[in-house]
Order: sequence, then structure tokens, then C-alpha cells
Amino acid sequence: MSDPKAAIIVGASSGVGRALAEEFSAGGYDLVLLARGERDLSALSNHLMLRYKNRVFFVPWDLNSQQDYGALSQACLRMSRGRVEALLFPAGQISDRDEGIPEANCLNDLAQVNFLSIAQLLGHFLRALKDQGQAATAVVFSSIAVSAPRKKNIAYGASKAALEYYCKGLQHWFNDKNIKIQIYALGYVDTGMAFGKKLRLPAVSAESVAKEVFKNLKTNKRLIYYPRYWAWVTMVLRKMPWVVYKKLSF
Amino acid sequence: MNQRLTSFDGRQRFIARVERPERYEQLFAILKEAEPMIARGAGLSYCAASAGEGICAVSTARFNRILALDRERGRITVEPGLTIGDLFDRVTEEGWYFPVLPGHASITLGGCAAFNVHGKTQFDTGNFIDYVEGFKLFHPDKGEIECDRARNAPLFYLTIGGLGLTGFITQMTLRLLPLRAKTVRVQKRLVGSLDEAVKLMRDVSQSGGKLYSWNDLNRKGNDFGRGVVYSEEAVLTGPEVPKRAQRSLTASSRGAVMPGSFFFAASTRLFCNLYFLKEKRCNHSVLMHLKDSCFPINGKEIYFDLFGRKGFREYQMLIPFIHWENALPEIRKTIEKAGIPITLGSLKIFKASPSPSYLNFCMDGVCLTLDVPATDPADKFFDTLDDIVIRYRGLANLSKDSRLSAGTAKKMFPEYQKFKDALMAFDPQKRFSSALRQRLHV
Repeated sequence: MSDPKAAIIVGASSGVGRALAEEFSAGGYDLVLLARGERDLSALSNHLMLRYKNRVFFVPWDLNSQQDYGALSQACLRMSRGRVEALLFPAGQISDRDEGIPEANCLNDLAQVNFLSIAQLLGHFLRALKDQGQAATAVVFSSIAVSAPRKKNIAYGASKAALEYYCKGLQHWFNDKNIKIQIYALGYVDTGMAFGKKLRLPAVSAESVAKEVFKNLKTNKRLIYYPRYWAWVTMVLRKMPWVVYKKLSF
Repeated sequence: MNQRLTSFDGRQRFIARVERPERYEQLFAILKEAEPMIARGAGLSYCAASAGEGICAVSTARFNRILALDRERGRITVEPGLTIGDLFDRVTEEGWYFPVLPGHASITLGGCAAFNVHGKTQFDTGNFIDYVEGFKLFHPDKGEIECDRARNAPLFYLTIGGLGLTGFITQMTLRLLPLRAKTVRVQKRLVGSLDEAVKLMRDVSQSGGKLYSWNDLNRKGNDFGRGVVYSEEAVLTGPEVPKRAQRSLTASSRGAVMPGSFFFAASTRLFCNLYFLKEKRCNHSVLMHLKDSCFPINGKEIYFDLFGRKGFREYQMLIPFIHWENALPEIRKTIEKAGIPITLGSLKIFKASPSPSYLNFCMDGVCLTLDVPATDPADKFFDTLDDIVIRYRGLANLSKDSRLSAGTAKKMFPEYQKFKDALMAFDPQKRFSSALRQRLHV
């Protein structure tokens, strides 16, 4: 009997990452989880293994730490026993300091967490999988903020825009090969990022995001707005004349 | 963030800060802040035990995982935000059962610990504390403390039933019982009066299993308290009966459906008459999934909505067996004099616990529960019930009563002062607080 398929989740201990861990466990996947917080990872892995009888490994890892990405990716692939079918990168961060013109340390931190670390680690995974001739889907999480830049959270939006461009470039590079890259442009999601904030539209649950990701994993979709109505909202905002757009407060 | 919080009975409303940490690092950082805190589970205690003005409610919602399961010995280690419905599902899958389950699956284990709750088999299986092997408690000034009956035992007994005022439970280990069957037969026996119900329940209690009653306390004649006694036995053979879909219950959803109360004198009498007739006509025994019998409120959440925005009030009293026969006529007289529609009357049989009593709702006796619509006369009615309970050396359940004063609690609970002193000795800065704590002056 062959080993079950596996998913690697970067940023697994909370929010969308935790919901993905639950959804993919329910879908019969073994998991390799990366996040800060060893205690959270341990709690989550025990919980999932008890519930779903799968194998869940974890690696405490801080996106800020700039570790040896190559060694980390190899360790994760070994834990997945060569059966990884999904690479999921829900990790991300916003900052209270991201107000107005972002200060250098805020820019650096958010760029590191939301783009550079993910891009580097993803790159190592994809090179290894390509070399082994393995098929897989990589899923990254961008934001509707990328489609409608605004005066709030500039550093956050910029870091997500960088990630989105990077992944769109990889989509072009991997065209006709057996590795897919999917980008989710998420609206408001009920996680720690949105909790307590006054939102103009309702937040969806992290669980619904996870279900959507699981459902679309084997499809050829490349850019997915979730909830879907954000595709229309951001299109309207993009088409809006600057003389109107500049007066919006959102 | 500030949120509008309401006690489940609808009496108390606050705008208070609520935090929902997602990870332990965030949790401990929040708990170390200067503001008074209180852990908040589902918020389904009828009084404001997990909220208060100027108090930060720290949600346990994301700390709802199962950390370990010893399938051989029947021990499970859980985080406090796990609901009793999820606990039921997980342990029964493994052939185990947790016997102390209050009425709705949405209640969290942290909430159960805070009030040392009982289920419908208290006379047989005791209270929640009887199944707690140990726990870890976080206090910002003391760090994380491991407690069980041998280590930090005084803190163990102070915390279970301690209203959440000693700290934030980060995990607890519970003792399970072997699961006998997932299907139960619920036997219904009609009774003509409250007195008859108690006598029958004391007889039937010898065989164990769930035992509770529904009683119409609006009747004026010899049939005051007529109703139905429900008892249950495991069905060891045959297929499993399907269970109902689990619904959620939240403090914020109650009262959203209708603004005013459905329950007036005439409508309440009609409601109770119809219910009694329905039970009289239905089969005298019915097969049910164990989960449905554990959580009878599941699917009947509309009952709470029928009270409207103002909500309801509940009085749950424990009267010692030796005083029950004398107390009952006074209780009846008080009910009749008040003339307030009683939407629910219910009895259970209780046994005493070997654990320290503090503010725990536990003794050998008869437990009588009654619900009424929220009105000013309801409070006066309950004040009179307080006098009866005190006179007959009984107790009122603090988790159900958002009115009971500190003075009354002091008279009712012999270890009130001992509890207060122990709490102050452990946490002199009152780092944990709630509207309940403020009202009880503990």
C-alpha cells in the first residue's frame, strides 16, 4: 500500500493555515506544518492525528528568521515521503505600524514575511519537485488590496503585490509542465487580522477558504478571488477614473 | 476590539473589549496586560460570568483542540474551548463517554470547569470535578501552574467551580467512562404532581441513567406540578438510531427572532397543556440517539427566542431531601401568589460531593428549576424563593441567576467567605474578574 498524498502548509498554526490543515487532513492527506509557535503546532498536529488518523509532522519556523531555505525544504519533502501534492502558503502578516508612508523596518518586516521568505521557500520546493518530475499544486494567498491600492496598509499591499507578480511569473514559466501555481486574492476573512475591525463587507470564515482551496486544487484555475464577488468589486475599482478613486476612503 | 456582550438570560448588556487570540504567544501576551481579564467560552451561562464592564473577555474559541487521548485508560486531554458536543463526538467514536454534560452541545469545557456543572445523572455520576484528573492554569503573575488532587490541590479545588476567577485554564485532562451504547431507550412516566414526581424519581434513581422531569407549575389544583418523568437505559443490541443535526447556540443569537415575549399567562398555560397532552399521547418509551438524549435543547433553541429581547429568568434551587416535604408547600404558595407564568418546571435528584463545597451547586437533595419571562415581578418572586432556600439550608445555582446578591450568596453558601479568602490569597490583584464576581463581591 503506497503512502498517502501529502500537503505542506507554511503558516499552519492559525487562521487560514489551520483551516487548511483541518480540510486537507479530512481529505486524507498527511501533513507537514510550518509555523512559529511549537506549542500551537504540537497541539494542532495531535488534534488532527487523533481526529483523522493521518500523519502530521511539524517544523517550528519563523518567516522572519531567514533560515537555510534549501535544507528546510529538503527536510519537509523527506517528511512527506515524496508524496507531496500540495504546497500551501497561507502565512502572512499585517502591521499596526503600516500607517501612512511606511517606515523602513515595517517595510522590511512585511516584505520579508509576506514575500521574500515565501518566494525563497517556494522556489526551493519547486526546483526539487521539478527535478524529481513530480506533479504538485502550489497555492499562495494574495489580497484584494493588490487590485485596489489604497492609502492604508501600503507595505502590506506592496508585499502581496510582489508575491502575486512572482507567482504569475512562475505560472508562465511552468506552463505545460506538471506543476501548477494557484493564487488566491482573498477578501475579508475571519482571522486574527480581521477580528474586531469594522469591515465594509462581511468576512468569510477561514474554513470556507480552506474548502474552496481543496475543491480547486486539481483544476487549472490560476487567479481566484474569494469570495467571488471581489472580482467584480476590484474590476470596478480598477476602471474607476482617478478623479473619483482619489476621493474614496476604504 | 469592543463588542456588545449580553448575558444569556438577556438581563445584562455590556460594551466590553473582546480578544480572540489565535496562538499561545498572543494569549499569554494579552493575559499579561494590566486590564482585568476573564476567559470566555460560548457565553452561555445565564449570568454574565465571562463578561463585565471594563473587563477584557479573552475568547477560548481557538483553543479547542484535543491534545491527547489514552484509549486504554480512557483519559483525554483537551483545551478549554472544545465544546461538549465535539467532545461527545470524538470520545464516542473511540468507545468512551463523558458523563457530565449540561443541556446544549455548544457549551465549552472551560465553562463546565468554571461552574463545576452537573448533567442529568448527577445523583449517579456527580459533578464535573469528579472527572477532572488535572489541568494547567495560567496566571499572569504566576505563570502556568499544573494542578491536580496531589499537586497544588487547594488551587485545583478553588478553580473547578471557581467561576473562572483563578486564571485561564490552558488544558485539562478528563476521565472517561466506557461507552455502553449509542442508542438509549427513554421511558416516559406521567405524574400527577410534583410530589409524585420526586417520589418516583427517588425510586427509579436506583437503576442509574439519566433521570429528570418536566413539570407544569402553573396548575392550581391537586395536579400542581403534573408532568412527565424521563428515565433512560442503554440499548445494547440493534442498530444505532440516527441523531439530529447539531445546531449552535450563542448568546448573541438569542432574542434576535422576535422583539416581544410570546409567554403570557394564557399562552404559557396553553403551551404547557399542549406539551403535556403531546407527551401523554406519544409512546411511553422511545428510542433515541445518545447524543440527542444528552443535549435535549438541541433543535429547541427557539424556546429561548420566544422570550423576546428582554429574555428570561431562571431559578434553579437545591433543597435537601430532609427538608423537601416542608419546603414544597411554601414553594408552591410562593409560585401561586406571584402569579407569574412558569414556562418550564423541571426536577432532578442530586447527591453530595466529597470535594470542598465553596460556591458549588451540589448537595444531597431535590433540584427544582423554573423559568419565567423577564419582568420586575420575576425578581421579587425570586427574592422570596431565596428566603425559602436559605431557610431550608438549600442552594441556588449561581450560573443560572443573574440577580442573586452578595448578601444572599453569603447566607446561602456556608463556604462563601472561605472561597473569597482563598481567591484573594491566590490573586490579591484581582487580575481576573467578571460582572458575576462584582455582583457577588468575591
